[in-house]
Amino acid sequence: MSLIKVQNLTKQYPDGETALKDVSLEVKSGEGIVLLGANGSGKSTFLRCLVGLEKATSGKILIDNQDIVSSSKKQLQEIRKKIGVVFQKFNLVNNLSAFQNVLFGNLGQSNKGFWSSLNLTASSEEREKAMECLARVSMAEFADRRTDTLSGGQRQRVAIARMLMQDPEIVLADEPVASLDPRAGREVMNLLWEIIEEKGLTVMCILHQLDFALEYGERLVGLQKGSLTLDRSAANINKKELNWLYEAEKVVKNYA
Amino acid sequence: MLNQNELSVNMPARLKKPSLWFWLGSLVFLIFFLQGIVAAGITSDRVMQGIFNLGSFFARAFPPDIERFGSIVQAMLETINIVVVGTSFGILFSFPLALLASNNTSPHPIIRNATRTLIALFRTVPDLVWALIFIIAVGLGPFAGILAIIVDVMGFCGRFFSERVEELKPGPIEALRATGASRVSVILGSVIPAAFPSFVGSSLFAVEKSIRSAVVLGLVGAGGIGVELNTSMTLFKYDEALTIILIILAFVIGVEQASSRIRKKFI
Ligand SMILES: Nc1ncnc2c1ncn2[C@@H]1O[C@H](COP(=O)(O)OP(=O)(O)OP(=O)(O)O)[C@@H](O)[C@H]1O
Ligand SMILES: [Mg+2]
Repeated sequence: MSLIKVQNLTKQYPDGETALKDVSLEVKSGEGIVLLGANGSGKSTFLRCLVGLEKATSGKILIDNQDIVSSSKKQLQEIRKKIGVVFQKFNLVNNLSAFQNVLFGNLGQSNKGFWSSLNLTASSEEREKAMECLARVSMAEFADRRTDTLSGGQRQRVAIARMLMQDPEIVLADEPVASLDPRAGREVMNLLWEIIEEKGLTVMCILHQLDFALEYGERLVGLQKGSLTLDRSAANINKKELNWLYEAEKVVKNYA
Repeated sequence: MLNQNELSVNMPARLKKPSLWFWLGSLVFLIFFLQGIVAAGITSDRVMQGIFNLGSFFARAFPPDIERFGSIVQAMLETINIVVVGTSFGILFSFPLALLASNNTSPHPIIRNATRTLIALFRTVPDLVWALIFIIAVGLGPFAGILAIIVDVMGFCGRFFSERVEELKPGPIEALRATGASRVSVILGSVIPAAFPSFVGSSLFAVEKSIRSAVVLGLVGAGGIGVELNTSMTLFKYDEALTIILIILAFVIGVEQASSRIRKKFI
C-alpha cells in the first residue's frame, strides 16, 4: 500500500502560471525519493502542495489514504502532523533560542496547544525530548543561543531537530543544503539521511546537486515544466541521463 | 550603429513638461493661499501688536507663581493616570486588532477590511474630537480622557503593528503551519516573537504621543493638567499658567528621554 498517492495533480497559480500539469506519483512507506528538475520546473510547488501550504487546483493527494485537497482545515492539521518539512532557508523563528525553536516542532502534536510548546510552560518530558533532539544533531551546547547568531549549517541542524521533535512519518526537504557550503552541506545531508534511515522515514527531497542525488536517492523523480518526465531507480541511471533533464528544458525554452 | 540624429531624438528631455493637472493644482493652491492670508487679516500692524502682547504676557508670567503648586501637581498626576491607563489598554487592544487587519494573519478578507476601516476611523478622527464625543458619553473628567487615548492609541498602534506583521518573512510562519499547528499557535509562536522588537518601538512612540494628547485633552474638559491650564489662562493668571507649562515641559522631556533610552536597548 502506498503512503503517498498523488493523482493527476494540477496546480495553477492565481496569476495564471501552471506550475504542475497532471502529475501522478505513488510513494511506498520507507522510500527515499530525490526530486530533480530545472529552476521553475515546479519542484517546490509539488512539495508545498503535499503539505497543503499551496492548494492544488485539481487532482488528489492521498496521505495514508486521506485526501489533502478536499480535507477540512482540522483534517489538514491532522495530516500535517505526520509530515516534517525541512526548508532551504531553515525558517526558524530568529528572535528565539534554538531550544524554543525545537520545542515548536511539538506545536501541532500537543493537544494542550501552544502552552505545551513554550519553554516556560512545557512539561519536563517535552523539554527533555527537545534536548534529546538537539543532542541528536550535535547542537545541545547551543540550546540557549538565539538562532540568528548560529551559522547556516548549525541553523539547518536546529531545523532538523525541530523536525525530529515533531516525530513525523514523512519528511519533505526542499533543497536542504543549497544555502550551505560544500562541507557543511555534506555533513547536514549525512545527518539527515542517518536520521531518516534510523527511523525508517519516507522522504522526498529536492536537490540540485546531481552527485548528491545519485548518492542518497533510491528513486529519482524528475519534473520538466510542471510535468513528470522521469521516475527511475537510482541504480539504473547515470549522470548524463540526468543532465538531459536540464538541457532538454533549455531547448524547450529556446523554441518557446 | 546609431547615427547622430537617432541619438538626439531618443535623448530624454532635461525637464518633462508638467501636465495640465500640475498647473491646475498650483492655481488652486495659490488661490487658497492668498485668500487665507486675506481672510485671517494678517497685516503688519497686527503682527507688531501680537509681538507686543506676547511680551506683556511673559512680563506678567514672571516669576512663575507656585502658590497652587500642590493642586497643579495633583492635576499632573491625573494626566499621568490617563496616559498610563489609556495607553496600556490601547496597546493591549491593538494586538488583536492588528492581527485581524493583516492579510497574512486575518481569518477572512471581510474581517480584515472591517478592522482596517475601524483602525482608519480611529486614526483619522482627531483625539480632541474623540474626547468631545466621550465627554457626551461618560461626562467630564479623566474617564473620557482615558477612552479618547485608548481609541487614539488603537488607531496608531493598530496600523503600525499590522504593517509590521504584514512585512514578516512568510518562511517561519509556514514552517510552524506545516507542523499541523492551529492558527492561534502559529501566531503566538512565530508572528508575535518576530514582530516583538518593532511592537516595543511603536508602543514607545504611542506613549510619547499620548502624553502630548493627554495634556491637551484637559482643555476640552477630559481631565488632567489641561483643565488647570485652561482655568489659569481664562482668569489671566499668567504666572500660574507658566508654572503649569514648565511642569508639562519637564515631564514630556523626561518621558521622551526615558523612551528613547529603552528604544536603544531594544532595537
Ligand atoms: N506564489 C507563486 N505565485 C505565482 N507563481 C508561482 C508562485 N510560486 C511559484 N510560481 C511559479 O511556478 C513555477 C514553478 O515554481 P517552483 O518554485 O515550484 O519551481 P522550482 O522547481 O522549485 O524552482 P527552483 O529550482 O528555482 O526552486 C515557476 O514558473 C514559478 O514562477
Ligand atoms: Mg524551489
